[in-house]
Amino acid sequence: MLFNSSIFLIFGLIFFILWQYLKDNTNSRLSLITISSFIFYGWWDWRFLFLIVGSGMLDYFVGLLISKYPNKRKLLLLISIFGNIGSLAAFKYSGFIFGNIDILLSSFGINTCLKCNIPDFMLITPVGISFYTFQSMSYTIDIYRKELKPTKNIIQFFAYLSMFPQLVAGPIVRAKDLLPQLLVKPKTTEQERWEGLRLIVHGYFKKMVLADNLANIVNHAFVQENLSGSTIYWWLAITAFAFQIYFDFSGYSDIARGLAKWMGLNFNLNFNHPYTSLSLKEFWTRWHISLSTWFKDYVYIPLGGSKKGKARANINMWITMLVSGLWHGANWTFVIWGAIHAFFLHLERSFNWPKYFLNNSFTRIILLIIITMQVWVAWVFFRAADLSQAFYIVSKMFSFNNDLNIPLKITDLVFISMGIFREFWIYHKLNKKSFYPKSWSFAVEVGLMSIFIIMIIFLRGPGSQFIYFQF
Amino acid sequence: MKLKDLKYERMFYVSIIVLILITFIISLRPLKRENEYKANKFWLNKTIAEPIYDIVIIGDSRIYRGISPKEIKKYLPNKNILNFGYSSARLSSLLFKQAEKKLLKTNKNKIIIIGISPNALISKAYENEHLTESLKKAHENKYEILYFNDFLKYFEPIRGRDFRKDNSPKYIEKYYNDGWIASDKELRDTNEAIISYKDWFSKKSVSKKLINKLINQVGIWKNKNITVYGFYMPTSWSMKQIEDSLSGFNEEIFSAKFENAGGIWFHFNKNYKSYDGSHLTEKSAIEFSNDLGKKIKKVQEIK
Repeated sequence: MLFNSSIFLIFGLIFFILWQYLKDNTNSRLSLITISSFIFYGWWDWRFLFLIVGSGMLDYFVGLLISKYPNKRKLLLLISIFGNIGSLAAFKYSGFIFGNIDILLSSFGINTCLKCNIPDFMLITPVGISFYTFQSMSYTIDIYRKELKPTKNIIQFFAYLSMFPQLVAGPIVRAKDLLPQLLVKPKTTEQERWEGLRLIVHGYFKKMVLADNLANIVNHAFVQENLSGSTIYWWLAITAFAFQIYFDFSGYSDIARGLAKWMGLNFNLNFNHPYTSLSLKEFWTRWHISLSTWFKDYVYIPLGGSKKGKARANINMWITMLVSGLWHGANWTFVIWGAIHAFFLHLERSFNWPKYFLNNSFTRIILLIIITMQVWVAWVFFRAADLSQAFYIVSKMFSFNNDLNIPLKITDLVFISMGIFREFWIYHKLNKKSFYPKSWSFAVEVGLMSIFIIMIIFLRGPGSQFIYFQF
Repeated sequence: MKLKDLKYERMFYVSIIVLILITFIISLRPLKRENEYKANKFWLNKTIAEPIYDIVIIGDSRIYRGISPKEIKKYLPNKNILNFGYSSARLSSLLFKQAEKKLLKTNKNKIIIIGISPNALISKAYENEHLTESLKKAHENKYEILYFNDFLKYFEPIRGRDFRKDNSPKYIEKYYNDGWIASDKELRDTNEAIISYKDWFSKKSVSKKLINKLINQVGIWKNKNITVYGFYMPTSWSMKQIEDSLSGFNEEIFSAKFENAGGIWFHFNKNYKSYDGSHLTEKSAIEFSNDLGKKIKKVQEIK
């Protein structure tokens, strides 16, 4: 079920009506969350519910066994990790792995088609598999590390694992943050409900008005037959994509956080204006925060983090970024995306060059542009259909030609400008300034919220699914 | 106003304002895309049609615009017939599988009719995009389209073009529950499709692999006791010339293979009228459907 579908509106309405009656009793509340989440997920394809239930069951029982048999905890953790990574490998990476083995063997003159023998159902990536697998894994890892006590209540565990607002596209919520919240009788104030509405409306606005309208530009640009040769066009198209993916994904996170707020739960901020970053390191503290911290806590630090010297820290960082790339998709383009970030981060760590640009506002703007360009180049690989398309686009972006064949409409430029303006506004901290007297705040808040809702309804772009669903 | 002085939540005030604004906008907005909503429902009904049919006709837009099951039924009165044509359809396994699903399982005399146009045999041109999209919609938006279609049209996004006068000649389309769209254009231009097809076939030609798969499928159906009829879907004279000379499709060779595999091939030599050079007019579609019905009846009687 998509947040931007009318069926979700009906689902949400029924859920929150039932919530009013069932929220006060812990078991009823947890059962409502679990059943609703299964309906939410099963609406897409009920057969894949078995996967989430299977993965959950494994981690639920492994969690209990780790606390019961602490001397076997390493083995139990390995079982959980193999189970989770195994289902990811089977359903998300089998085509990629076998396809690459086929290519490798063919270079030795052995013609095979291992990919052709993969059953059809394994070629469909279940929606959100990477998110709930990581969430489930973090549960057992935290128990293994003695940072969390396992829950004995299986409904509480599944309410945590399948929580519908964040099930398919995050934010990835840690068990130690959410499990205790689920046991507290939810009580929300008017201010919290309003804050929830604000997040939901802003989320929908980002997704349906900004991202979906920018999608028109991006989809047109990346169609093989339309590939343009213009430098300006490609910078604009990639800018459109950078904002599309940002609004699409952060919009989803905002809706999830808003819905959670209405349920009396608190999910951490997942995006914090990443395009205002003045270093790539800062970018990764602002972009998809729940995933970055997951990789930091469960990959980078276990590898040794930065405690074993600079060289080892850089190797660990490279590994983490490459795995992060692969997490996003079973394609070499995503691995290269991770590698580009790793490369620029490596330069930044080695020379700490951004510090030379922090002297005045002019050099800071230059720095902002350089960081943005690095991120933009990486986005090309993230969006391109294959490596040859990506290299073609990057070559055009840096050929600095005067080709003015730019197939964009005025409205396209308006949506790109809205994206830039929004981050510019934050960069200059204008959001913290008040442009009207305090006594007007009620009217302004209510009026603006109403206008945003009307814009979502009548100015939305062609409906499409959230980009991060495929991950 | 202070928060503690509020009689109702801010959400309440927002709801009231939004309702007023929506009513105001809906009363003023142009509703130019009503036809799209009719079309949505038509395609959904076709895609989710129950397996109750004795005869299923498959092919591309020439088929769903050019064949009326109602007219064929005149000659086969006890048969339930579905036109299962889709835009730019490829005669590939996805279409075959979906079409077969629509046949009544208990019927012992099941029939599949394949209307061939060379474009439907081009390999990578289209990946049955329309059918795939329709299946996706049937999965994701089924209830929305079935029950809220008439209501949702008021909430369509407003675009600048909605306020501009559209002078281009419009389609005249009548949607039938049996899968046929009776079509015509306000201003007929029998050359409209010719140039693009000429250009298209100068770059692409029919796929031997796809033809072999189709012939193979005819054999599979034959083994399942499904009678398969096939024919080259009539089009304008100019289009036929282009397809004969450029597409790589040879009706003689193809029909021989088709019959060898166990299918029954019909030849139509009559001239039918097209409104755009590719698709038949409503009147011609009715005429052609009658001719097709007569031919099927004749074969069925012999059988």
